[in-house]
Amino acid sequence: MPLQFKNLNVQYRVSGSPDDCATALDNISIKINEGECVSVVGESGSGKSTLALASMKLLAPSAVMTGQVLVGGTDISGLSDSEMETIRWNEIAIVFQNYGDVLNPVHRIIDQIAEPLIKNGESRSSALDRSRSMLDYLKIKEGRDVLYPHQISAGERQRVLMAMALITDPGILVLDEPVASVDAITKSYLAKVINEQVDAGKAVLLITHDLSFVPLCSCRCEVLYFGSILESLPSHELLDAPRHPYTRALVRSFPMMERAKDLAGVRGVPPSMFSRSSGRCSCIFQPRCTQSIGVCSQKQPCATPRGRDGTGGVGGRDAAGGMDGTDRDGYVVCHRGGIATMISVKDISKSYNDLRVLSDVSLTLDEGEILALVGETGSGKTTLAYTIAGTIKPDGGEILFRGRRVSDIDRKELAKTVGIVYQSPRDSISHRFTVFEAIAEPLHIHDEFDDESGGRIESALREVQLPDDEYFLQKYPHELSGGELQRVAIARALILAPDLLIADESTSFLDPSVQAKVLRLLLDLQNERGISMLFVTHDIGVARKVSDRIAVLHGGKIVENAPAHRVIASPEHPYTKQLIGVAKGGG
Amino acid sequence: MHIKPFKEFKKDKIGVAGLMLILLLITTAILAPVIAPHDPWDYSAPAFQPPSWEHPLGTNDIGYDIYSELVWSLRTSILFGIAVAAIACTIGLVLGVSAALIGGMYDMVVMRIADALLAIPTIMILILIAAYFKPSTTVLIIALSLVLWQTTARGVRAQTLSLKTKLYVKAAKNAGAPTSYIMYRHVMPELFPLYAMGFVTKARIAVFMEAGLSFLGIFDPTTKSLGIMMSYAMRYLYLDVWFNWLLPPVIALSLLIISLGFISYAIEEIFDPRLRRNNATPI
Repeated sequence: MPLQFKNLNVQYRVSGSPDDCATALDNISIKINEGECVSVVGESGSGKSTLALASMKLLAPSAVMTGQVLVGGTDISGLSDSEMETIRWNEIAIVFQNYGDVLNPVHRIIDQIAEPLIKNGESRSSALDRSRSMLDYLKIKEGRDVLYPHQISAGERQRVLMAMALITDPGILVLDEPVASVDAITKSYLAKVINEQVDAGKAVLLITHDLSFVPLCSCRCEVLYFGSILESLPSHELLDAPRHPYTRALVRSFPMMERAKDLAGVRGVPPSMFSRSSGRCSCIFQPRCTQSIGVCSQKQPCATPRGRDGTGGVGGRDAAGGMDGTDRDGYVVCHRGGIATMISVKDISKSYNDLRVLSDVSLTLDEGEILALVGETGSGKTTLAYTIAGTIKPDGGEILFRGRRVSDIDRKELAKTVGIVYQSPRDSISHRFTVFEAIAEPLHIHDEFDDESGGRIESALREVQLPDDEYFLQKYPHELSGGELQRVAIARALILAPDLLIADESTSFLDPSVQAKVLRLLLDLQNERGISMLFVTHDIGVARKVSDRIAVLHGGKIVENAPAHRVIASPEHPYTKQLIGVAKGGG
Repeated sequence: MHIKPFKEFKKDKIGVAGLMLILLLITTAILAPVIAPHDPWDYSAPAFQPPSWEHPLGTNDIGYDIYSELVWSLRTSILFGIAVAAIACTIGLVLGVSAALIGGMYDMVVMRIADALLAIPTIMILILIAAYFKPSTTVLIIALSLVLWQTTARGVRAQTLSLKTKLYVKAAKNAGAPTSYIMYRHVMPELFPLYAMGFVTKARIAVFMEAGLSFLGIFDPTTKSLGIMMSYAMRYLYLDVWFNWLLPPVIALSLLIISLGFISYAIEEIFDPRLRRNNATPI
């Protein structure tokens, strides 16, 4: 039995007046066919549970729902409570979020599971038998069935809830955070259960914030952000190939077994639900987006088919209205057609006299991405980084920076959008400059030094966790430690708010403790500002901790270029294997 | 290591002594028209007068006041020294920096000229020029400047080349800085020690050279000069005038050269870490 949401809007009236409405769901269209499981992911407050409740018409009285919810073809939005009674549990069942109070504390769990069967006219003994076998199926130990909800563990309670939903064998199953409180082993068993239900022809709506659970049992995934679907994608691409900046940020926040990179939350603060009650005219994710451009704050984005280098919403269908997720590759709601490419390097080569340093190197760097360039000394990684920054001219090939040829961009203009942190802070800051003068230098160069620059420099220092008092500002490089100096260098690189930060072996001069702190700082700043980062290092161990993607350079060629965890887990090129082997302490 | 040159200089006793001395001499030279009691180009008393209140150092063979001559000669020497030093160092700075920045053929030509000048004895060129052209003071200043720039140019070129490779210069360049900014903010301050050293050394050479040339009689004879004074005094040594006629210009010249020597010694010690006795005070 299919479940379909058609242009569903849900608003919560807050104080009675029609203006004080908080939008929980905005024009949601999802179709779940029989034998299909669709998952919905998103941060807390994104409207996931509202969607679950709407599917059962269980919304609070303050909610105003428009649009359609079709349960097996019947629009339930117009049904009366008594009509709903016949549909609920028989045709569509829900597994509620596992809070302490979802089960009735004064009834034994077996009785609670058997209750709908008995209500439907089945004999008590057969209902209890079926309930017991259902508990067996869900791996609840024998003898627990006669206990009361407070006597069993949270994980068991979760499965009891699942049993209650499955016992009536409904055509549609709505699961709201079914694995939030269960251990990993149980989780994988529940995934098996869900898959069996899907195979049996059920339509399953899975609501979860556990991203690793999504590919285990659903085929499609909808990414919900404060009431709007931002991306709809095949589940197996969720962790590896998200196309919306929000999906990527969500994936980066999620701890995954194979991923070594430090976790980073979605930058910025969630929007207020009230801010969008009356016809919004910007992309809802725009304030937190890493790649917003002018149009993002001017009009709502449209859904565009997923795929690399989308056309940026041109000709796309109206705000997810025409898309219900049935497209195979899904869609992304973004003016820029999903994560945009910031830099694309095409077949560049560079020689110094007769020495070939780079040969036919091609590479892309996405907006908001951290790419590590790894290679041994002399492999050409620094040359590649500076070629990208526009300070070294390649002999052949071309580099596009946001679609423009780097060679066509004014050097000063390009320099403003690229910040560089060098290897040795002692050498990269003039010994004649005070901390203040060093950080002010880019402002002087770009004629931006004015009365407010003092405050700007002080806040830059606070951002890199250094003191901002007059005494510190007047210190000279030789009075600072390597770590402090590198922070000053980072502040200098970021003072013009660049879009790309190149860290050229920025931490290799520092001792492990200082290096850890500086890396942490770089990552935090990258996440907070949403900038792209090119991390040049010879240390693949550092690279795997900081980068989304690793490109390995060997003899002037890129021999490996893949998501960081994949490069580490299954390197393809012998050189990468050797690098990882050596880094692990082997031969 | 960052050095505050003026603060360091103040701590250097020899440097301060040299500076005081040169300031005293410069003041005397500037105030020459006021200090000199008589017109040094005019007869003021009978010849060979011994020192008196009227003529502190007596008069010379044609009745000119020796003290007035001395003060005016000092003025010539100092002017000559400063002018030559300024011109030669500026030529050296411009040629050195441009050679380093432009490089290529230009660099090679400039540096080969400098090498040639180093090899040829300066004094010989000057004697030839002076003997042949009978030049004015201005021409001589220019001539001397043209043969003294090479050491500064070489030093400046080497320093600029090394600065070009400094990471903080590259960083400024990568940040979009134009060459003018890099010159003004990064290169010039680094070249200051070279310029200062070159200036003092060249002033010393110029002062001595002027005295030497005029002593040899290859200088405008109408100019008042310590060398000319000495040269005339030598002719009348049998009259026992050495203490009031020969000695004063010798002492004045020596003081001038010693003061410049002290200053150059102090500058060298401040900027050359190997010569530093005690560590520079930070800030």
